[in-house]
Formats: sequence, structure tokens, C-alpha cells
Amino acid sequence: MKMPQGHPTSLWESLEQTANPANRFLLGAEARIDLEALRGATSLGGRLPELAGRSVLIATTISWRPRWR
Amino acid sequence: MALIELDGVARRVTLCPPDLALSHLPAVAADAGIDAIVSDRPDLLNGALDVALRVSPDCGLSATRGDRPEQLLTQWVLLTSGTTGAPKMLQHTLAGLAGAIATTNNVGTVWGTFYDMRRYGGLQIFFRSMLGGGSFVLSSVDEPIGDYLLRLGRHGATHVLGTPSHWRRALMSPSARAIAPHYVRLSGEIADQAILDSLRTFYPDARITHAFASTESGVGFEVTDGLEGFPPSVLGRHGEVEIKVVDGSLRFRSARTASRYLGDARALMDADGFVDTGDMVELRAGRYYFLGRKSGVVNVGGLKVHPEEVEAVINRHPAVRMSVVRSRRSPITGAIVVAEVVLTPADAGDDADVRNARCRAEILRLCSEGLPPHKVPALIRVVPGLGVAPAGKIARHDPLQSPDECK
Repeated sequence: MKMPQGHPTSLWESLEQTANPANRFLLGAEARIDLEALRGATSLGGRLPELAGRSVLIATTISWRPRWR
Repeated sequence: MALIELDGVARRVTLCPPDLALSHLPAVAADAGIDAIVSDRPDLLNGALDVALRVSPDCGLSATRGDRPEQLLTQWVLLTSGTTGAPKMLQHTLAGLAGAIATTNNVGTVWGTFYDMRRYGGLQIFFRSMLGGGSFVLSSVDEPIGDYLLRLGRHGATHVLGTPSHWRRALMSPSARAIAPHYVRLSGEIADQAILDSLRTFYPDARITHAFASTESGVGFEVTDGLEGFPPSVLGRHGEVEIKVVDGSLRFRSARTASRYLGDARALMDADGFVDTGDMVELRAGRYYFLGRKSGVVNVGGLKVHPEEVEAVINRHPAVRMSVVRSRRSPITGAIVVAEVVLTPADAGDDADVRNARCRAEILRLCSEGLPPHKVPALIRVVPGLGVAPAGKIARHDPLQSPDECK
């Protein structure tokens, strides 16, 4: 099913298109990550294609771990 | 991060709240047709659920390789609090979840919420920060509320949201004055006048609002006049949301509502597309007031009592920070109303027992003056604290109430 025109973009596209990511951040109890750093990044270790089209349960205890490999 | 990556790629994303009992997971997985897990929980990664694919996000950020897979309209599945029995599962779309969010690109807005991000209220704030601009200071499941308030203050939170119970607990914390929000919003429970006034006193420069929103109905409306209840002008059609009251219960028809239950044959909407919220309201002197949940009514000698309306009266006492009203079985009336209250700290030198007795008597007088006799608590107990369920609502189920205690 394609995304119809006029609907909100996906969160990913919204992030890609955001105008001022440099000054924006997500902050957890243990770490901070700037939205700009999320652009072009993945926390799934390159396994996103395997998850395409699947019904995925997200059951994480921590939202993200902000270190770059 | 996984949420951002999977939206538009996964066919369906189901968010598992941190408090979901492991025993409920097989049913959740079956009803949602789960065939992959993204988790950092060892029990799930090591086979607690039988799925084809397990992915651990615990690998840090790395640069994406290649193009993103073809875009889909991802179905979002959110779980309700499930305070009794299994949680209900509601299917949403991003368009519906984001329907109330203005894309204003307010870069300077710093959002904060006591809600967990894996539930409807918290996810709303995540979307607001992502789609509407701004940043987001997330709360953590086991983080003391005072620590979270300090973090909100350090990072300049401008917009802070939570349930009335969240806020009551926040105002009991010495760190409550660590924040200086421009905007405070309450939702998820009835916002009575006492908590609205307390927030006005604590944060005189903030816009204090309360809103109606639920996992089933989505975001309904916001009340900005600083008063409990809502004006009749809220009813009717406003943009994409239509609201009416039928038999005393509030009903919504909106593109923001969930599309259906998963794993539950019950229809979410009536034949006209309205969702019955189960929240009872009453029109008094030109304004609607929330009474309580339809399912929470206590029957006292054949007369109905909504615990929330008794709590609203108790909470007017200046020394009451928080209260809960429950029922106890009575051989005479079937049930009686009892109350537990948390008081503000006593002044130095105050005898606690004397003060508690004085407050109990004053609360009882307030109730007698403001409520019909069957709604007046037969017992008022001063307690050091009250439980708040993971969804941020007051814990109404009394774990201490054994059958013996009810005799």
C-alpha cells in the first residue's frame, strides 16, 4: 500500500525534511541525541530491510543508545 | 529511534508498554500477527515469543546503507492500561495520531511529559516534538518524579503534560519549582478545579489547560479557560472532530479515533461512527462537568456514586494533595464510600495525629455540605501516598482489599 498524497509523511521523512534540526534534541535519563545526528542514521544495524512489511513488536527498555560505531 | 525508522517500512508497529505482564505477550503477539521483535530485553531476544525475526537495537547508531525500503502506511497498535485483565489493543494510523498536531516548527519548544512514550499520551508528545518542531525531554520508567522535574528544569522545558495524578505528585515534590513552563496540560483523568488552581499558583506565567484524549477516541478537545469541565460550545462539529453527549456519556466521531480493536470482536464505534468514551458528564448551570467513568459507578443503597465527583470535593480542602475514593461492601447498603487522602506536609511543631483528625473532620464537613448523604465517605483515612498506575492514572484497584477485609 502506497502512502497517499496529502497524508502526513512518515516520521523518517519528517526528520529528513525538518528545517532546523541542529537545535533540536531528544533527551533521556541517560543520554541526549541531537535530531541532526539521527539523519541518515540507524539503530537497527542495517537490518531495516528485513523488517520491511512485517508486523513488529517494539519492546525496548531504553529508547536509544547514542554512541556511534 | 526504532519508531522513526520503522514508520513507513513495517506493516504494523505494536508498542509494548514497559509494565506489560509477560503472560499477556503471547496473546498480544497473536492478535497483532507479530512476526518480528525489536527489543533489548534478553527474555524476548532469547525466545520468550515464537517469532521469525528478532532484532536488538542495542548496537548504537550507525550510518544507513542503501535506500529505505518502499514506503507503506504503517499501522500503529497501542495498548490500553489494562488495569484489570488483559490490555485492549487499538489500531491507529500516523495520520490519525498526528491529527491534532500543528506543524508550526517551533524549534524553541521543549516538550516534557510524565507519560511513558510507549502509551498514547507519551507517543503524542513524541509526535508533537518530531512533527511540530521542538525538542523532547523523555521521562524514564523508574525515574523519581523529582529527578525528572530537575531534568526538565535544567533543559528549559516549556511545555509539560501529564495526568492530574502526575501533576499532584509533581506538586508534592520539592523539585516542582525547578520548572517554569509556559504551557501546562492535563489529560487522561478528570482535571478538577483544585488541581487547576494549584497549578496556577505554582506556575503563574503558564497557560494551564486540560484536554480530553484517550487511546480509543484520540485527541478530542482542549479547555483553555482555567475552569474544570467544559462549555457546551465544545459539542458539535469542529473541524474533523464531532462531539455529542448521549445518555450522559461523551461520544466522539473523528479521524483521530482508533480504527478498530485488535483481538476483540467488540465494535469500537456505533453504526454512525461515534466512539462511546465511557466518560459521564452532567450539564449544570450552563457548563458540562465530568462525573466519572461509566464503569466505575458505585451503587450505594440503589443510588449511584461516581468516585471521581467525591474526590473533586475532597480535593477542594487546602491541605489535601491527592485523594482516592473506593467502595467497601456493606451488609446494609450493599456498598459504602470510603476515602484515602494524602495531605500536604504539616507545619513544624504540628502534632500529626491532631492535624489528621482536624483535616478528616473538615473534609467530612466539606463533603456533607457539597454532596448528598449517600456520597459522603463513611471513612476517611490519611495515608502517606497513593499509587499511580503506569498509565499515570490513580490506582483505583485496592490491592489490600481482601475478601476478609470486605466482610
